[in-house]
Amino acid sequence: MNGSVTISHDELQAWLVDRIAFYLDRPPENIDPTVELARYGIDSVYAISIISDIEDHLQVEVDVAEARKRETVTALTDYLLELTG
Amino acid sequence: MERQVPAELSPAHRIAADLDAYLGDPMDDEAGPFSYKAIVEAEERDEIPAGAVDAVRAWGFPAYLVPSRLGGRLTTLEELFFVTRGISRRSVTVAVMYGSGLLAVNPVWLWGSERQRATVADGLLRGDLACFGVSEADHGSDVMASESQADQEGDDLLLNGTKWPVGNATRGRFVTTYAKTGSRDFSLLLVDKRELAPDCWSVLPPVRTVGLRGHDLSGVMFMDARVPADCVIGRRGSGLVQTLKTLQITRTAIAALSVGTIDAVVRIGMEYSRHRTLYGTDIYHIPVIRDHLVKAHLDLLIAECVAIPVTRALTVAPGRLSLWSSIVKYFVPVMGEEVVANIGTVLAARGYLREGVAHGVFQKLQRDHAIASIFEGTTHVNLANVAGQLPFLIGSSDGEEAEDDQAEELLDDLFRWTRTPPTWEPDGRILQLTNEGLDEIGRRFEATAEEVLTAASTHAAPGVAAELKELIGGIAGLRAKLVAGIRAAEGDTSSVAALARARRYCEIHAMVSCMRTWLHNRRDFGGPFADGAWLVLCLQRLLQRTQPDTVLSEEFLPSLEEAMFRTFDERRWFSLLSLAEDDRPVRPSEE
Repeated sequence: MNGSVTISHDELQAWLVDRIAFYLDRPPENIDPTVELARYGIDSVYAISIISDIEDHLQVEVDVAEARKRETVTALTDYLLELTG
Repeated sequence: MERQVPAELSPAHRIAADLDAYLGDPMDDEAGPFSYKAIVEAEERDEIPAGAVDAVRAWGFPAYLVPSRLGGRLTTLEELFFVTRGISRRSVTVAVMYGSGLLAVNPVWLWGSERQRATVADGLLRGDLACFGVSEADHGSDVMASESQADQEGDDLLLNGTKWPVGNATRGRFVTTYAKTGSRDFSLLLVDKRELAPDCWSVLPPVRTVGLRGHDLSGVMFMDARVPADCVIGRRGSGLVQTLKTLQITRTAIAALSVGTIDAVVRIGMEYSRHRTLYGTDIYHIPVIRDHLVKAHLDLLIAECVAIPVTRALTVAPGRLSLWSSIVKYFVPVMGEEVVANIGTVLAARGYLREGVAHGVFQKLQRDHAIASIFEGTTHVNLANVAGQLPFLIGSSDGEEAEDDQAEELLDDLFRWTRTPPTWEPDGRILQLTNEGLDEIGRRFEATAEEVLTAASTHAAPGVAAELKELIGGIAGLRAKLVAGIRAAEGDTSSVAALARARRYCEIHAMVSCMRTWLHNRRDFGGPFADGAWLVLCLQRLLQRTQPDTVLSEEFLPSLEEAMFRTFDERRWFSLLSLAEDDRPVRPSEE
């Protein structure tokens, strides 16, 4: 780590869960970060919205195809931390 | 075993009977605006019969669009389904007018502020209509491409865009408008035409359609229309998820248009076949005519088995509605179209006339019903919804599925006609975009099959158990093949083959629904219903979809035909209820 990480794993994961809960219109506490997002109905349309939100929030460019390979919130969080790390 | 006090049907049955008596027998020329005579005559002028809307209003139908907590009479979707079925067997057009209104106001019930809810409830109860302004001419089901836009200007939003085609767009007071409220966000706006400046909106001319003539299908255009920012329904940016969830409710209700239409065309087909004499006898005795009518009647019974539990799911298992509503919306309208086509061959030339048998209403029913498989998500959109969920419906369900006794309790709530579902307390957040792999109807196939075979071996009529055993063995084979196919497809959920798998999943769902309907009602219903012969026939009928050579067991047909003719003679709804023992289960009395 080079010290440029400004967001912790837990913070980022909580923020992501919040966004996904918003798009699904359900309480964040009902989102399990280890469950595949597709199971909740996050399809390609939503994926693009969420990735755009991430880019705005973290100020990084995210490769959509790469990001979509991460199937759960936990996996996506790890991937994003690598990007910003 | 001693016979207990007969159980009482849920209130939906009483309400529907009341409406039916109020509107009169459509075959009777003197029945007023809801006679086929008046309906056909008015349609020739592109109109709904004078007095029809007033009659429905006077009976109180608009109150069935408003939840009881807000002063209306909408307590369960089952009740609305029954009422809609009653109207649809006369005029799908009138049913669609109110159905489009319900689609528009459901987001207000589900996510609206108390003030929005009160305004809309008050308007609807006074007879105002609402319309759902989502469609745009160039974008069809692709709502993310929607161009209408609402931009912040001070405390207000400035709305621009054209919504077309939209049911009730001209007559409707409230326009639930889907518009862009951010770079990627869409919201639903509650627009009250009465609050708009006159020069900032206009309506588009009526669209000429094949059916539903007399229904206000038009459009609405907003030009710098200033609306208060608090007209957004729920949270800004959640318009897409709200639209998808709202559709689950009306998609389920649309099956009532089909069941009502099936009832109407079977009645017309029977009337004709018993009075038309060819080759020295009435044409019901021609084997192929009888075959069409018996099958159409079975299709109606199947539609009841499939649709009714899902209407009850809104308050019994709302989280399951994403999958189940799409199954109903695919399956029942498509079956309705097949029934209409088959009755068309019974009527032959008479079905092609705009006069004669039942005043020539058949061709109108056919044209009107065609909307059922098109609007609120086409057949393909709904099959795609099912296809997308299939991989999760076959995986391991350890720890996810409710315990056996809980699942059995849930199924009893869904399928047992004498149970009254809880009152609907609208809350958008309890509806979900997917079932997350949960499906107590489809996934409990083996438990259901076992229960059916056990019950049949001691309680069914002679020969039924053996027949069921063979049929269920065949269905289990189909199901195993489907599961293997889904697995082998490795997540392909969008190809033509994936849609075919979704179709098969829906067919098996329908078969299980018939089995469950028998299991949960046989004690309350008694009579030929409990004997289970109808279940054999319905499963055979459903198997004909995959195995066209399947034949209906001739020895089980007489009891079905007896009920069918008796229902026809008594001018009552064709229904599974006609197979129950006399006076069982009891119809609920007035409140």
